[in-house]
This record gives sequence, C-alpha cells and structure tokens, in this order.
Amino acid sequence: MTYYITTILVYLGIDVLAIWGLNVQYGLCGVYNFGFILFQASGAYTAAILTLGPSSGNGGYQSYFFGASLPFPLPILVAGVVAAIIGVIFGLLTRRVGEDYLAVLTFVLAVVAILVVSAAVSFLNGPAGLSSVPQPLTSVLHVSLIAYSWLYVVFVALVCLLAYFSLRLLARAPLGRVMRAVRENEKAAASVGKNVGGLRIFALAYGGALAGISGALLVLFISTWSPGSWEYAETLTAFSAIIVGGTGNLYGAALGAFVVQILIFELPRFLPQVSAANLVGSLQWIVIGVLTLGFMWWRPQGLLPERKRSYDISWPVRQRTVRPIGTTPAGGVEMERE
Amino acid sequence: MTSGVGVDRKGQATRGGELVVEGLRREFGGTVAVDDLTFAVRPGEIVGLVGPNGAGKSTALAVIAGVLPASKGRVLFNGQQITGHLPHKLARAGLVRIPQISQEFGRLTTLENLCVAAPHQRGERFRSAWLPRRSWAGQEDAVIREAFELLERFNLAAKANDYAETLSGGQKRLLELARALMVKPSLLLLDEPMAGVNPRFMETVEDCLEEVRRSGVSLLIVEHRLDSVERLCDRVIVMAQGRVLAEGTMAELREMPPVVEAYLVG
Repeated sequence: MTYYITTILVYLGIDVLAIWGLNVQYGLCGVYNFGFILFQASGAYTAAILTLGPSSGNGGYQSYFFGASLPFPLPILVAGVVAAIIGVIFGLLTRRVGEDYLAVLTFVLAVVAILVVSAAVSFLNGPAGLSSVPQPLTSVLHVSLIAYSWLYVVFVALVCLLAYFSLRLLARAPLGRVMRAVRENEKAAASVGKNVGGLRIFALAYGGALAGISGALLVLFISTWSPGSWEYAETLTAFSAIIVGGTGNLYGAALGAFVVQILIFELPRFLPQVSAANLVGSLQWIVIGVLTLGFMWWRPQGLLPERKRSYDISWPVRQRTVRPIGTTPAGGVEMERE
Repeated sequence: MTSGVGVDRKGQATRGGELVVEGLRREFGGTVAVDDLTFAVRPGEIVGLVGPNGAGKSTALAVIAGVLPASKGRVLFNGQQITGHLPHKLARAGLVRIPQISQEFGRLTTLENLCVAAPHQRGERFRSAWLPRRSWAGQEDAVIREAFELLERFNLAAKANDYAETLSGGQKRLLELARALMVKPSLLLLDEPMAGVNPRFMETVEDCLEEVRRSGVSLLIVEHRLDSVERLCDRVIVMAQGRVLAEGTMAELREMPPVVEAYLVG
C-alpha cells in the first residue's frame, strides 16, 4: 500500500509538471500543441538512453542508438534540453501558420514520430520500447524499495517546486503578459510590435522542456518506456486536465492533473471488477470526454480560473489633472454609454 | 500624449510619419484588388481614403501594413523601403495599423492591453522568465503610469482593471487607438475607426484622432462616414476599382463629376 501511495504521488508530481508545460504553451500562449505527448516521450527516451549505457552492452536484447551512462541528474537535464530543442523545431515548422493549422501540424508530427519510432527498431528498440532503465543513485543509496520511493517523491516534489517558482515569475513578468496577449489575439499582438513567432517558439521550448523533464522523471522511476506510453490520446488527457482545472492558472492546471490523471485513471484501480475486463478502461475515456465537453460548454474557465491581474493605480499619476478628451475644460467627465 | 516620432528596431528615433506608396498592386488569384496605387501621406497630415465597397481601400491598408504581401509596387516609410516587411517589424519602426474589426486582448484588462504595446520592455525578454521582479520593476512602473495616463485622456480610466472584452464597441475603438499610441508610432493606419461606434460616441473618437494628430502622428484613415472624413482629413483620396480616382479636399471632390458619379452620390 505504501509503495502504491508513493507511486501515485510520483505520478501526480510528474503529471503536474507535464500539465504545467502544456499550460505554458496552451494556457499562457494559446499554442494548440496537439503533439504535446511527443515532448514527454522525447524526454523519456533521452533519459533512458543516457542511463542504459551503450546498446552493445546489454546482451543484445534491446537495440538503440548512441547509449551512455551519464551520472545523475545529467540525463534529466539533457532530456529537458532535447525536448526544448524539439519545441524550437516545432515552432520553426509552424511559425507561419495559424493556430488551427498549427494544431493539425503538431498532431501529425506526433503521429509520424510514433510511427517512425515503432518502425525503426534499431533507433529506440521499436514497439517493444526500452526497459531495465536503471533508477538513479540506487547503487549509492542502499535503501529499501519503500524508502527509495519516498526519496523519489521528495525529489519530484523539489523539481515541481522549482518549476512552480519559475512559472510564477514568468506569469507575473511582462513576458507572461505578452504571451497572454498572443493567446488572445495573435494579429493584434503583431500589430503592436510583438514577435508572435518568437513567442510561440519560446512557449513550445519552455513548455516542452518541462514535459521532457517529466518524461525523464517518469522513465527513471518506472524503468520502461515504449510507443504504447505516448499515444495521441495522452495529449487529449493533458488538454482535458487543463480545461477541467483552469486554463492559464498554475493551481488550476495542478488540480486538473489530479482530477483527470489521478482520480479518473488511478482511483478506479480500487474498484471491484464487476463486469467485462475492458469496461472500466473504456468508461474512463468516456468520463474524460464528457467531462471535457461539459467544462468547455458550462465552465470554460475551469475549476480555478485564471486570475485577473489588477494594478494598483493609486500613485501620484492618479492625482494629476489630466483632462479626458470629450470633456469640457471645466472638468465634468462625460461618461459615454452605449 | 506621444512624441509623434517613431523608433526603429534599434530604438533610434525616425522621422515622423511620411508614407509614399508607388504603383502598389495586389491580386487575389485573377482578381485585382489594388492596381497601380500611388499616393503619399506627409508628416503630421490626416489623409482620408474613401471609395465604394470593393474599391480596395482595406486591402491597400493591409498591404502597406505588411499584413498582406504586395504583388507589385513599393511602399516607403520615412524614406525607407518597407514593402514585404512583417507587421511587428513595421510597428517597431512606427507604423501601426488598427483594423476594421476590434482586436482587443479580451481576457486582459484595459490597462494590460496598453502595457503590452509598450516597446523595448526589459521584462519581455525571454530571460526575464528566470529573473526576479526587481530586474524589470522600475520600467514596468513607468509603463503602467504611461498607460494609465493614456486611459485617462481617452476616458477609459474607470475601466482600467476591467477585462477589455467587457467594453462597448466605441470604448474598444478608443482602447485600440490608445494601445497603438503606446507603441509610439509616427503613422497610424485606421480602417473604418467609426465602424460599430454608437453615433453619440463618434465625436469623442474624432476628438481623440485630432488629439493624436496634434501630437505629431500622421494618420491614414479609411472611412465611409464622409461627415467624419470632412471634419478630420486635410486631404482625401478617392479610390475606385483599386486605383486612385481623385484627390483633394472634400469641397474640391464635390466639384469633380467622376467622383460624384462613382461615390459621393447615393
């Protein structure tokens, strides 16, 4: 039971990190990245091949390119960098297209990627995927499985905390404001001198890095990763989490990750088997779909809506006498209503 | 209100708001929307661009602002060739277009709408995502002050902390105008600024446009309301079938039979 709890907590942290990544792209900047899961997958594969060691050294039961045994936490950091680079590539490929075409293009890129990885067996071991990925620092720590899993929970929580502070800085900075402006209206943002393409690339890279790190943390915990782990449906659940939790709100995204990824996908494991084996699995997807549609229809802002950023406008400038246009010099403000 | 002098990409001041359009052409498939269009806007001038529906006025504005590529011809802004430049680069150089349909940032507050438009903000650099607030706070305070001052002048101060999507049609037009001024433009291209504005509010919009001109900004206005055009514009260019049909003051244009026949009557 304890191991199950720690596993759930690790999953929650990893999901929150990934959803925050998507929140940077979609919630903050309005980038419809329907290939989002590719970023998490790229991080997972990167961390795996940078931990497994050379392909020739594992008895030949799995084949992959490169292969190294980098010390912890380098595989995780490199995973973030690789995912960020993929974000830049996505951004460059989709720089000149509108948001609807971007959604289709990113979706297609993710589907092509999974087909390539599955077909090119020597690349990342094909459909079988990579397994026996060593967990970090196990040879140094010498602790029980339960203790190790608790340590991993703490590590994931620390990574989430770092990401939280960084994302909070971003959201409060003028950079976050201009990203929200791009989300609201790309053309208007460009018309006031903002480089929409550059901001999109930044969002894809930053959000991608977070997703890549989440993938790395996941593969180093569960020790295995295959094309079955990153099918397009995973992207839909990530979008569902943001829509349910609250677009553009860090706490909302975290809450969405908990509701969708943990409550809907993990809690049913406790339910007794009452009918066909696949029923619960199918019902989960139906619930996700209904929940997403319901929120889009009745509460598009999500459970925790994005906070309005009001400014304190009570400094000296407020007290200056500035005659509003359309008023008489005597002073009466002509309030126009339509 | 604003300097009336634009800034280029390096933040250097540019001359104020001179626009020269030479032989501009824009085709959509086989349809020619703008054909050999030639005219100029002098610094500090308000020029009206009028004509019947389908004359190519809005297309011309979109091509000048870099929203649509030109099929032929060239555009000079402050003496520099800008044909084919992207809108955000033109805005940074001081040429800002306000489209016909309001394009406010709906889920940003009115004040934020203006703050976004301020150029050269340190807090907008990508590294600011990892830097503490104090690295950009000083400039941010100045931006907010400037934005609020503009809102006061445009009678929108009471709406500063309201979402822009809650403003009325006329208020949105004023917001877009104020937002454009935050860019510190030297030339504004306005596509039907009176469209969707309550008639009682039009005088306020006209006052704002006059105020903008007094601050040294040139304006090129596409507008169907000829009474507003007459009150505001120093010169009026009449377009028909993508070309310049006539040019002059409204009084002069009324005396020109081809203009009367093509546009002013009915």
